Amino acid sequence: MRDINIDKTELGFRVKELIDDKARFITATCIDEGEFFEVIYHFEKDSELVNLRTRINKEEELTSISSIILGAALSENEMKDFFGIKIKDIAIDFKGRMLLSEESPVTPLLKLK
Amino acid sequence: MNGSDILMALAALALAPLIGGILRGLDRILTARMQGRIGPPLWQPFYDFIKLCAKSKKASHRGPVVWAWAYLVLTVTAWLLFVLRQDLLILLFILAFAGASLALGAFSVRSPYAHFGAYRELLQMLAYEPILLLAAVAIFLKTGSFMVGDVLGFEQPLLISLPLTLVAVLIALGIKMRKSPFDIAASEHAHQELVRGVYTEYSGPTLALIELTHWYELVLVLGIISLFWVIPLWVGIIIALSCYFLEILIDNITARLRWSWMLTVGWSLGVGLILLNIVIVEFFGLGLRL
Amino acid sequence: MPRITFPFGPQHPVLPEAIQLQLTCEDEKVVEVTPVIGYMHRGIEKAAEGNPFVNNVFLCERVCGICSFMHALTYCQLIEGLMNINVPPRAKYLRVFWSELSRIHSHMLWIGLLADALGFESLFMQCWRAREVILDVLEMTTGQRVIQSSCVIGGVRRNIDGELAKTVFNLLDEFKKQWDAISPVVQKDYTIRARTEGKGILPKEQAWELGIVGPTLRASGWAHDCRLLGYAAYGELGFQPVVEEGCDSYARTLVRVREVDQSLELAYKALNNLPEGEIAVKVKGFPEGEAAVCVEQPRGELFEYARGNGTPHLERLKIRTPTFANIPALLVMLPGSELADVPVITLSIDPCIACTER
Repeated sequence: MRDINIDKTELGFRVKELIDDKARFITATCIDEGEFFEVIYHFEKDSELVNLRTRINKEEELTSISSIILGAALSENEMKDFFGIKIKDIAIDFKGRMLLSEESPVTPLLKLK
Repeated sequence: MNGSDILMALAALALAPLIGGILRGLDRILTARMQGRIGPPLWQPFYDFIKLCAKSKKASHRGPVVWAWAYLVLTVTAWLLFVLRQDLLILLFILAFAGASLALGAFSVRSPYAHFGAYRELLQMLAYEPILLLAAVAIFLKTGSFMVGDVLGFEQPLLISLPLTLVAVLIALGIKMRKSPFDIAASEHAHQELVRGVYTEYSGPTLALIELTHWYELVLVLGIISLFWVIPLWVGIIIALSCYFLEILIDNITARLRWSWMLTVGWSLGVGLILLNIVIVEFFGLGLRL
Repeated sequence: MPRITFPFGPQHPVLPEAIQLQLTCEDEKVVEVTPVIGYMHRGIEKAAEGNPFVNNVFLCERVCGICSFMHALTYCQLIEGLMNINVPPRAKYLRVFWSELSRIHSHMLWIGLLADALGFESLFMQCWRAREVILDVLEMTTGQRVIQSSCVIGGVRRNIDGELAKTVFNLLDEFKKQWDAISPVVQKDYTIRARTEGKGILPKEQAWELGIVGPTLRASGWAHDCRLLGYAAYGELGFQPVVEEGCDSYARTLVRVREVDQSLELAYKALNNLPEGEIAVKVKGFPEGEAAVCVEQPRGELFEYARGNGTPHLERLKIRTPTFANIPALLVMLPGSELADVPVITLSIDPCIACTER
């Protein structure tokens, strides 16, 4: 497991770099840390796990990486569903209603205060 | 038309669904046995029919119900023409119209399943109609008449001179029975991309009506096959039943194929075989005197 | 013919799972596909935060009803990694044994479903009958047919020895006999080949870029298999992933057919070489820190990530199931295909929607 801590602005650049290096996108995990969201993009490169970690303020907006990897669109929608994290320009945007329905609770995975 | 004809027509009207239903019951038992299951009782199709009739009348639209009736009436007419030993050609055209009304019924609703089913039903007709019509022509060339009565009176068994035609008619039977590899417009069970294709929008008593029509249709097509050996008639019936068994067997050892494949087979193999048969009989005189 | 939007699912007899594919068709040609999911989300990730971490094994098992053993295994390995637990070797071999049986029964289920979607009912019945033998073995050795609950943190709960092992070998031989009759049909039958060859092409490079996993990826020519990482006893048992170069539905079928043979071999091997010793160790303390594991499920790579905080409850558990990664493949494979091929192509990724939505 290799961790790379990055800033949200260099996300697209770093992802592009990994993809050009023949890495495979696995998934993205979001963790609620009170004031912040920690977003981890998991990649596999030469049978090794590579994590791109970024921390953003809950109000901040991330740019989608689905224009680089189409497969990431579902993971990003999922984070949007569960945490209400703001991600712009997702290739297929379900607007926070991919896994959740109209009647279900919103952002269920946010920690209660 | 005399009294005995009327009696015969009435008997045929009552017997055909009975025979057709039993045949379908047999089909289900045989299919089950081939798959290593026990299968339903022989009378299951009738139980299903009664159950369907008892359901409440729910239709998404009145159109398909009307067309379902047209399907039944036209098929029964074709069957009666057959029993009354009338013109084979007219009979086949009425049968074609019956098939078309099934497709039109599916077109009269807005369900995409039914629409695609209807398209495919029309393609199926395109595949098997030429076979049936050419088979009638082959029979005409052999017997000199399109009348079922004359064919019944023809001394020499048709199978001896028209064996390839029978093989072609088998393809048509497969398509008509909606068996693999031809279960394209609507498979017998609903595990198909179109669910049940043309029948998707039918339910309850209307579906029972269509089931009833299938029984008539099955008996009629098997009847046409038995024309290939009419003296004595029981040989023809055995031939028809073995064809039926063969269809069930093929159904169980093949997967469903696409409509383009069906058209190719129907037109090249089916039509080709009949034409070859006609050429052999007409120009080489083979099979004329056996 | 105008464009028709054709709803494929969420309740469709060919696909016994709740996913909707909105297919826009021109004639019978599919021009556009929109997958709609979210019909069976159960909030398992949320529930996992509320449960004590030990109980989560049984929760994770219920992510999927087919590969339940692998879900439990993945979670156990995740926590064992977090807490540095050394699992006894016998438990590792037993885990391989049950994993491979799960793979066989999942693949048999899939081959049956494919046959059913193709209208090949007798093959469907045969496959599922053969699968029953495997389920019998599972029931005999773990007590349950589907949700086995035999894997726990620190080892396994049931042992296989003496008389039981003999019966298991007999049943596996019985399965092998049935399978040897089925497998040539699946590989060679004209109608099956006609319906699968050249259908749903997933080009090699694109498969990797989309992050496709499992048999779908291996059928596109990549020798990618998480078992190569050597978790449980796979490192000692040794194996080579099954790879096909066809990139189409037929190649994906072949991969699964050959994997059944391979899994059977591995199951025999694991049971024959069972090391002596304990089957479980006691677990003390609470998980702390971060861990992530990959396990090869019948459908592909199952990825789990967890973060513990030194309490009985996990801070976060993330489960990424293989179908979740494979759904984008449909966006590549379906457009341009014929409507009649949609069920075959959709099935060829072996979709498990209950897994996907958790």
